[in-house]
Amino acid sequence: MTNLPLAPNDTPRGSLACVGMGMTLGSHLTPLARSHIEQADVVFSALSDVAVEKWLARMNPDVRNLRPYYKEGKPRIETYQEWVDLMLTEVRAGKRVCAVFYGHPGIFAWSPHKAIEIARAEGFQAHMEPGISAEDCLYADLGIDPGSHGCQHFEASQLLFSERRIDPAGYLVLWQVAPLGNWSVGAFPKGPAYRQVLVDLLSQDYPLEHEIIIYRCATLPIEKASIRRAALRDLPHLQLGTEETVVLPPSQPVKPNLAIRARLAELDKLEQADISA
Amino acid sequence: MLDTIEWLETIGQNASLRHAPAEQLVSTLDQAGASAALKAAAMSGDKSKLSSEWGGGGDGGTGGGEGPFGVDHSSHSAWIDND
Repeated sequence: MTNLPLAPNDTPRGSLACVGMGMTLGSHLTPLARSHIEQADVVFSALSDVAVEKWLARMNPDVRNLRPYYKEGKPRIETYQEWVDLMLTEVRAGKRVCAVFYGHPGIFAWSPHKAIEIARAEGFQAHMEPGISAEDCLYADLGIDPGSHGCQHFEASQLLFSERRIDPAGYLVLWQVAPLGNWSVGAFPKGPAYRQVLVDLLSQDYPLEHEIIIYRCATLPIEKASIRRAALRDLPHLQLGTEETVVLPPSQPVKPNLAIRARLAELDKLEQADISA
Repeated sequence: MLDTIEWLETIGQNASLRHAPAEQLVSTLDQAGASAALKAAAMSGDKSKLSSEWGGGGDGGTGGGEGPFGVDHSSHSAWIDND
């Protein structure tokens, strides 16, 4: 680890870097994220595995685990606000703070965005370094290119609580299906009836026999990605872990937009006429 | 000799080891004197077999409920209804 000395006129000033650990231990941590971790005065962490926590602890002597702030029955948003307060307390004390989250620190993670926003508003240097996310791993492991058909992502509860437009000609990726409707940690698991509501909603756009994929990426390098397939109708009764993601491949072909194509063809003609003139 | 965390980091960073067949990986670990728990985990692809490495205790888990590795692997953002 190389710590470059501060210029003589530089005074210690708090800063915040939110970095991603990636998904798989040893495989995904970027050199820059690792440098932030090693050079920080204080490191906060919210990681996926004990092994990853132990790995991180070897990179900095002051690593503080954020996960114990989760409590059974406690609303998640209260925990996330506490995380923000913890980070900013150290930033305001003049510390170089690094907050490490598994995957990408800005994907399905409220606290890093909020902490950076507040730190910047208070005049501190704060930024985010991307990490390899579960979504990135999903594309690689399932062989999906979001550019081929398009790809929508929703937190499953949001899909139920809000009026959203699903496009069955593209991929649909549903996150957090297992804890559907649970807003606090340790809440009583919702029964199959809750997932049945999701299936009923999806059945407006997909046949019940449509194949779905249940995916989980590897977090330790001795693991392989878990890929299971089932029919949409069976989703309510499947065993699902919180780390598993449900993917619905397209059920319909992409329809050509004839009106827009005609309009673009007209523009092509006009452009060609201008060139010829 | 590498300990288990160092081995996991090494495997994760090594193109030959990361996707090696389980038998081949375990053979490498065996020759290098890796722990029995790591070899068992590598053979089965089941990380729960590593729990003895950390004393088999809890992890301060958050409701995931999958034994010592049962951390909350859900997102760190509950979707917030703005209405």
